Amino acid sequence: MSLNFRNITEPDKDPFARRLKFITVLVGVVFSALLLKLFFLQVIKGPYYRELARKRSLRVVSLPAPRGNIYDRRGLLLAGNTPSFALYVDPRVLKGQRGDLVLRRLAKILGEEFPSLKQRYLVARRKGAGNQVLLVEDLDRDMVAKIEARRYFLPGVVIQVEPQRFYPLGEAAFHLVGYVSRVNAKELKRLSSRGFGPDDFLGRSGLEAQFEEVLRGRKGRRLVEVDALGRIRRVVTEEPPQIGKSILLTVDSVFEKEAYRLLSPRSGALVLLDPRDGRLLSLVSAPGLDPHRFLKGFSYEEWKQITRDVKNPLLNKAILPYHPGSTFKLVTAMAALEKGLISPTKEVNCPGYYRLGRRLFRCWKPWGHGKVDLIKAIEVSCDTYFYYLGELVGIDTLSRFARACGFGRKTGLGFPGEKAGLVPDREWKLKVFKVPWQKGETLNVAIGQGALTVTPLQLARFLGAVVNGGHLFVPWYVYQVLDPYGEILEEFGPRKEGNLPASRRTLRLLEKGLVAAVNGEEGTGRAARLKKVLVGGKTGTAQVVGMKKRIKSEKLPYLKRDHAWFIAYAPAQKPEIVIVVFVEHGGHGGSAAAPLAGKFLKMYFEGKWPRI
Amino acid sequence: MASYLKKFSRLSWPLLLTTLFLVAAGVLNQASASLGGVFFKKQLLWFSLGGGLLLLLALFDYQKLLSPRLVFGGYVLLLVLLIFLTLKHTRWLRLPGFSLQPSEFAKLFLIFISSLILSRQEESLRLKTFWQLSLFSLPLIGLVAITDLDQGGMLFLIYLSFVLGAGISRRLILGGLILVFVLGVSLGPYCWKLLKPYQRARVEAFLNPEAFALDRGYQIIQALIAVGSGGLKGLGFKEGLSSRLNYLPEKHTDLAFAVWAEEWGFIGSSLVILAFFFLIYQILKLGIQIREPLGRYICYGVAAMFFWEVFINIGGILHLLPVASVPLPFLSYGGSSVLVNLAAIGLVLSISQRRYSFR
Repeated sequence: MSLNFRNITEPDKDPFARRLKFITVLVGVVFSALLLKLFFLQVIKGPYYRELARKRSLRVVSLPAPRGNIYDRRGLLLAGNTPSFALYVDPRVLKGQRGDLVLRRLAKILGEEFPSLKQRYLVARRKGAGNQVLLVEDLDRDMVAKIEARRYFLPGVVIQVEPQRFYPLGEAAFHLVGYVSRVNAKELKRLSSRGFGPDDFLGRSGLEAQFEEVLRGRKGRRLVEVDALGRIRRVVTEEPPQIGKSILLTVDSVFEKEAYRLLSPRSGALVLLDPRDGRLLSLVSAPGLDPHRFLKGFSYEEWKQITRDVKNPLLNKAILPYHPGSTFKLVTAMAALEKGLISPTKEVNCPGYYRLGRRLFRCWKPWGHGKVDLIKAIEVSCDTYFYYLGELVGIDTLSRFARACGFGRKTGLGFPGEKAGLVPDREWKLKVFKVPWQKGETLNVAIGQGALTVTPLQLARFLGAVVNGGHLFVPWYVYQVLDPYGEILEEFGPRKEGNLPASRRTLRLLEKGLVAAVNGEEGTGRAARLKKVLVGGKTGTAQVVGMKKRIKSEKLPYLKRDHAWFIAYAPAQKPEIVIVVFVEHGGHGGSAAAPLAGKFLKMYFEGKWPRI
Repeated sequence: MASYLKKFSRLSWPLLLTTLFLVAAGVLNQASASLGGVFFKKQLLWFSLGGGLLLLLALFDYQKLLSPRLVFGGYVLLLVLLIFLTLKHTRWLRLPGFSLQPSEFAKLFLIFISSLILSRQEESLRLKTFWQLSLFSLPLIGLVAITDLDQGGMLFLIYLSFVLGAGISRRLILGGLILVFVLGVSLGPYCWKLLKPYQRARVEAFLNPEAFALDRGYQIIQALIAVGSGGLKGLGFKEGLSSRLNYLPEKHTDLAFAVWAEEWGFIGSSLVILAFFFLIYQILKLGIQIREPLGRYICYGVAAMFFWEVFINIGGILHLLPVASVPLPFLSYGGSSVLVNLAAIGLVLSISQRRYSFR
């Protein structure tokens, strides 16, 4: 450093000037040190500090995507979204004592004890959400106002508006529509590759589960600047969420609601189907649960109560297998007629039992029906007649016919949890029980008992095929898949699986029997009779426990009572709907199920529901 | 009029321009730090007031102004005011509409009175002068230190600069250093206990900021992040993440330089440091050029004041020193600080007129 001082000729004579020169040099040295440190911090370590600053003040907030809507055939919502407020906290801000202080304030506002809130926070944090830990769902507006007003004192607390699933029909459509709930930590590991985050919703049952990929949108992301108090100050960039696709069903929410109302408080199922193309108009199982309860989760007590309920509100009975009882006699009759083993006019005497070797097979009417032909046997549901047919047909033919009628396999609806039921035959008996088939078992199968099980859905499509001229359709309920703007992306229609192994004549005879069962003097299904519309139908009473003597169902404990069935179609001249009513442990089909079907059909044909 | 123009033309232009540059940087920095808020507007007002004061002092004859009677009178007044404020446990003199910090003005009066005392002595410091100097300086320093330890420290450093600069023998300096070392080692732990907790925390945080990242070291870490993330070119005016998102505490005052460094990068901040150096260099050079004793001691004192303020403030932000709460001249917000700094420059400018006249 050269210091050129003009006026100093003899510096030695001015010691103060000399000292000042020395001091100037010292100052220069100190300032060089400052510059060096500045250079080190800004130029050499600049990238390091810039990264630190970025980490400190930028956050990625994920934006949940609204799920697609589920509409009924009228365009009414079966599942939609409502905005709800969710409270998230940022674990990076809630550290140490400051974090506890914030949680303490939050606990006071929420009216929760601090230790419990803290524990919930620690549990939620373990789920591994980077900078958003969900602490409270579905905050009410008062609470939101209280928290927003104290925002300054609650750093790291963010309230986000989120779409929450909303089910207008509640319990009634619970089994059809299903429900969603947040993924848990275990599932997250499996699902994270499919784009799931820790607090995302997953369709758990019904349509929500079956169409998960269609309904689920794609999450958006937002890059925000967060200030020193953890409050969002500016949105840097935003990738908006993509709304999921919607689906339009063939199901009618009016019927869905009415069917559920009729079934309650019984346990059972009701399937409503259009026999002309196999579309489902209603698929109801009772009792249901309010799907909104799954959004918040259950307490241990609540869950215990639900799982211990004998009426099993979690099971969708429309797709589970049960003994079909007398409703299966239609298949037995079809097999006998088609094989030419019996003439419809041939009369069989029913003394109240049927003798096979040394065993007696009882008819449900202890003193017998006397002489009955095919139509009469269907009308009065005479067991003896069908024992006789069963023996004539044999298990091989009977099981083949049952399968051809769509039993023993899934219907192809694709509904999650749908069961195939069981059509027993020799092979099955040998495989499972390691003993040969007994002739007596054929007789039990012929009247819908024994090992035979079918689902209400299978019965509905079978009856539909019987009355539509033999076309066995794959049941369907999704009509269209729509994008968020209502554009049709995909459209579905009827799909035929095959034909019933029956001639027109056979089907006519069966229909005649079905009409007689509802309208005949001694018809078992008279409770479903309508004045203006001709209804055809068949009752079924499925024994749950084998018993030597017939005891009235009402006197048995609930779980041992018979299942009540009624399957019907109307109008008989030109069928437009098929209804299957199943009442679990309801007792007699004629007294427990048929009246429900009657009431529903009355509503359908005479009621004032808005037609489309 | 003509005489004023003549006077004006004789002022040290490099000094004036450097000051203008620093004032401009201060205005820009407050505009960013307060986002055009109330601090910015108030600082503009203080700058204009201070500018007026600067011109007034620059064109006035400093020898008339700094007569022993006036300076002593002012000194006594200031002392009384400080006693009054100390009894009220405050460092602020609250006047209607604004507040002043008398401890800032104490710096000026310390310089005046020390310069007056030293200007009467001959070549090197005599013991008698040293006692005179200490007699007037130490009460002022002590009074200020009671309510504002950091400013007290600043005053002490200026006092020390005068003692050392006035021509103390090398043996004495060496002896003093040894004495300070011995006293430091023996009484250090005791003094450590005497310090207030927040002062101890400052030193601890300086030694290991990461360990106290959430409380005591927070300021240092945030300052380092702000300065470091500025990089070579800076994030741009009003674009500093640390200041805009309030990560920087005291961004208007103590950490104003961090705001500047973040937004203007190494280029801008080294320019400010160089400007400060140039300012001090110009003042010191003036002190060498002129032969009038009062003027050169004033120059020396003002240079020492700027040097310590800049070094302590920027050194703290760059993590070379523990953070002390002293404003950076021109860049930090503060009415008293602005007035005192501009007045000091004004005096030096007034002295600079005499470059060409010889004793």
